[in-house]
Order: sequence, then C-alpha cells, then structure tokens
Amino acid sequence: MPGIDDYMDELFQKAASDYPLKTSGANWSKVSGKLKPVTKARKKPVFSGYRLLAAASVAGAVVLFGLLWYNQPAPVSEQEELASSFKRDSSADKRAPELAKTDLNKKIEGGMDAAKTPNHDAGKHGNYPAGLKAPAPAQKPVVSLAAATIRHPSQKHSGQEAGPQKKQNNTSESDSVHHEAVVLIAASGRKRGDLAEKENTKEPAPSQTFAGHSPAVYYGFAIGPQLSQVKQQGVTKPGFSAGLVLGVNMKKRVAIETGLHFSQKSYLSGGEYFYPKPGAMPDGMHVLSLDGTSSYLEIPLNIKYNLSGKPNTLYLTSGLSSYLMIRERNNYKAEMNGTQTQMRSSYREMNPYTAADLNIGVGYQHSVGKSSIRVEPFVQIPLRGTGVGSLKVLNTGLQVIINTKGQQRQERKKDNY
Amino acid sequence: MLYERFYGYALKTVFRYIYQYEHAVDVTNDGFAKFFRHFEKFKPGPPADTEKILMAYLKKIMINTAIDELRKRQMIPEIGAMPDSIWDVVDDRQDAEQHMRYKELILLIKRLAPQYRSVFNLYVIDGYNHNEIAGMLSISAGTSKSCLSRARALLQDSIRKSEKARVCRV
Repeated sequence: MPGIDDYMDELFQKAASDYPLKTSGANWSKVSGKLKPVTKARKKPVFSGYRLLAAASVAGAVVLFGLLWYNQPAPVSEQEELASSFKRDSSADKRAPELAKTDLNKKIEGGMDAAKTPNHDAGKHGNYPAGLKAPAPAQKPVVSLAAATIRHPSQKHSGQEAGPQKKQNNTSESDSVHHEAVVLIAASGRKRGDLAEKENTKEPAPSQTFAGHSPAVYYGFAIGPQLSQVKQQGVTKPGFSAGLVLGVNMKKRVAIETGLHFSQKSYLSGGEYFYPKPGAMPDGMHVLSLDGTSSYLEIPLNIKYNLSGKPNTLYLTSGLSSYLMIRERNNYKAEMNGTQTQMRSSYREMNPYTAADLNIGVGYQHSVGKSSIRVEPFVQIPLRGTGVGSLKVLNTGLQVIINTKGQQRQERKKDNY
Repeated sequence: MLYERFYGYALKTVFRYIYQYEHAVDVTNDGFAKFFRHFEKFKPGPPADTEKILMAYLKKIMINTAIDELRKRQMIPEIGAMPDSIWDVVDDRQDAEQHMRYKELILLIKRLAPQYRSVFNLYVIDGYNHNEIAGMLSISAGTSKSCLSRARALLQDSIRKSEKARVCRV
C-alpha cells in the first residue's frame, strides 16, 4: 500500500534524525590509536592469546607434576630423616663443614665422655629433643660407625672446604657439633641420658620442623586451565583462571585462603537448561541450544588442610566461590515465529553471584626455598545458576600455585637441637 | 574539532545498523579512523556547501564501515536488552513524547534481522537505490526489493501492535 509506505518512510526518516541517543562519549584517543600506518593483516596464529596461555599452563603443570613426582624422596624413618636433615644443614649448597672426620669423632667422643657425668656443659649449648638422654658411660660407643654413615665426602681426609663458604660463628659451630651428637645418639639407638637443662620441658619432635602455631600470612599467584559443562552435555574450548592468592595458616595443617581471579569459561547447552529472566529474550523466541563464553572476577574462600605436617605434602581444599560477571557472549540457535534462526548476544552488565560454586580440590605442595609450588586439580560444583540464562556450569581444571611460606620460615629457625 | 563536532551524527547513523551500543561506538571510531586516514580524498567543494558535503562523505564512510562489520559477523541476528543509560534525557515535555516515539521506532528497526535492517536503512533513510544496495551487500537487486518488502511488513505489524497496546493503556 503506497500511501502507508510513504507515511511510514517519512515517519522513520524523522525518527532517524531526531531520536534521543546519548552521544557524549567521544574519545579521541580511541581514534588516534587507530591512525597508524596500515599494515597487511597478519594471519591469526593457531596458538594465540588465551589458547597459548591455556596450552602453556597445561604443559607447565604436567612437566612440574612429573618432576615433582620423579624427585619425591622415598619414605624414611625418623632416625634416617634426622641424619639426612643434619647432612642438609651441614652441607647446604655443596658446602662442606670445616670439621674433618677425625675432628668430628673427637668432638663427639669428647661430648659423650663428658656426658657420663650429669650437668654436662654440653647441655648449655642447646636443647635436646624430648626423650633424649646422655648415653650410659659403660656402653660401647658406636660413634665411628654412625659417623661413617653420615660423614660428608669432603670431610674424609683433608677436611677441605667444598664450594663457597658461609661464615660460621663460634655459636653456630658448637650448635652444629651438638646437633651431630644428637644425630649420632639417635642413630645408635641406645638409651640416652638426660643432657638437657630443662629435662621436663617438652620440645617439639624433629619432624615437627614446621610447627607454626601463630597465624602466618602468605600470598602467591595461581593459574591454570579449566573445562566447563552444563549438565554433562559435553565440553567446548577450554577456559582458564588466573589471579592472586592470599592465605593465612591458622594451625599447623590448616589454612584459610582467598584471592582474586580472572576466569573465563566456555560452555554449551541445550535450551532446556536455559532459564532467561523476564524481558531478556524477545517475545516468541524459544532457545533450542546455545554456546557461550563468560568472563568473571572470582573471589574464592577455601579451607586448606595439609595431610601431613611436612613441607612437601598432599592437601585438600574446600570452600565457596563468588563471582562478579564482567561479560557474557552467547550464540543461540532459536526458534522464532516458526522459523529456526541463529542469534548472537553480548551482555556487559556487572552482575554479582555470591557463593555460586562449591570448590573441592586435592593437591600436592612442594617446598622450593622460600616458596611453595602447588599443583591442584579441582572441581567447582554449581550451587546456583549464573548469567542471563541462570546456567549451572560445572568446572573442572588444574591450578598451579606459587606462594610464599609466610612466617613459617622464621619459626623454623628458632628450633634448636 | 571535526571528531567531536560530528561524533553524535556519526554514532546515530551507525547505531541504526549495529545492534549493541558499545559495538556501535567501536564501529563509529573505526569509521572516523578511516575518515581521517583517507581525508586527502575528500573534496570540499564551495565553502557554503562544505559542511553538507563533509557530512555526506562521513555518512557514507560510517555506513560502509557498519555494513562491513555486519558482514564480518555473517549477518547473524543479535538480541539483548537496551540499557536505559544509552538514551538521552529530553527536558522539554512537549518534545519528550515525540522523542520517545522516535526511540520506539528506532528500536523496531533494530529488532529486524540484520539483512532486513540494512536494506531498510539504506533504502528508506539513507536514500540508496536497489542496485547500489545490491552492490554493497553482495546480493541481487531482487533480493534487496524482497528484503525491503519483508522489513516493511514486519514494521507495520509491530507499529499496529504498539498502537493497540498504547490505546489499551489509555
């Protein structure tokens, strides 16, 4: 009908020139940045951006886990551990202690002889672990055998220093002598006399090296890939999570962790699990399926429990994650007015989702100097739906976390033998 | 500055083609980058007509940039609510109702499928003929005519429904 068409055309032409759109967002810097010499468009590499990051995270985690598993020491008895810890302390960084084998034996024998009488001076040099007593004078010493088992190769004949040396003052040398004495006494397995001044004082056992009873704060960085799915409908391209970790060691084995992560999840779903809010979809539109990607800021709150008190240990984590959605992009296959069509949507509203996921993880942490490296497979079980369609997205992934040890290191230094 | 002076005009042109507001802003800035990059091709003409010629030249660049963007996205329809923050507030009460009406009409255009939306905008509002539209969209003139016809039918239907709804509210 030409009449109506002309009327409509005129109506829309007026609307196009006078409609009230906000046009105050002019930003010249966005244009000036694009006014660079035009270069030929480069082909997008196969591994670019997020793909490279995800691939590197997976590869790094696999290599790291493999190295950690390969280098994991065999379980040892407490006595052997004492001996090896003495070896590490005295020969750290390939340094050899100054004491030669003969000097070592002389000193130990001297200490053991003196231990025949009570209130020996040796007790002044340090505290002995609970239960250790001076050897009985009549018992045959096995110092030479024990010394042979723990002797450092460089001490053998010349007593040469091996490698760069750290200055040892007299106090630390005498401490190391008494440490050696305790190790040998423990290795001999003989009944020990009480050499400690505070014989009734309960000292922490040697294996409790990292006993941290006061809260210790630590921080670090976490990164890793993840796969997301809705109601076991399959997975699409991997997402990732990266961010900061902040933790507090509450007890020896328990810590509380939180952080701030940037997460990206990709998922696909049938329309039956997509519950849009009223007004989010056009009238008459029925979603058949969708695939989408969402970007979040994630704030986890987890409890971490170490399965042992050692620095290298397995651990469990559990807690809740809250999200602030930054962006959601969905591609829909939909039915509208009897015809199937594809549609796309992008949402940039910042929507919060409190306690949206339950986190469960099992990991392994390995001490490296002043830090720890952790590898942690995890699963995030959705407690509530997120996004425009309230999708319940299940995430599984792998995190690699590098964090400091907090104040634990200082407490370890206070332990004396 | 040319950019600030004609930014609103360019954005309103692009927003008729591109569904999302933020995306329309990006496309507008892309269009300005093209405009300044090839500014040597612009011929101002007589001083009295310079502004008109400049606006026509800028509009052409913006439309081509928007069409290129839609074709890059394979003309896949987009959906999603329009936040109220993208609309200007009109103080004058007399014009407010008129502007609201215009806003609804533009939203009706935006809800069309991208191909229908493009053809309708190019033919009805921007004054291109079907042969030019066919060249820009890589379709035949016949397809352009049928898209226009379909777009008009859908818009008429939507206008009738909204008029009915308005009458019922009153």
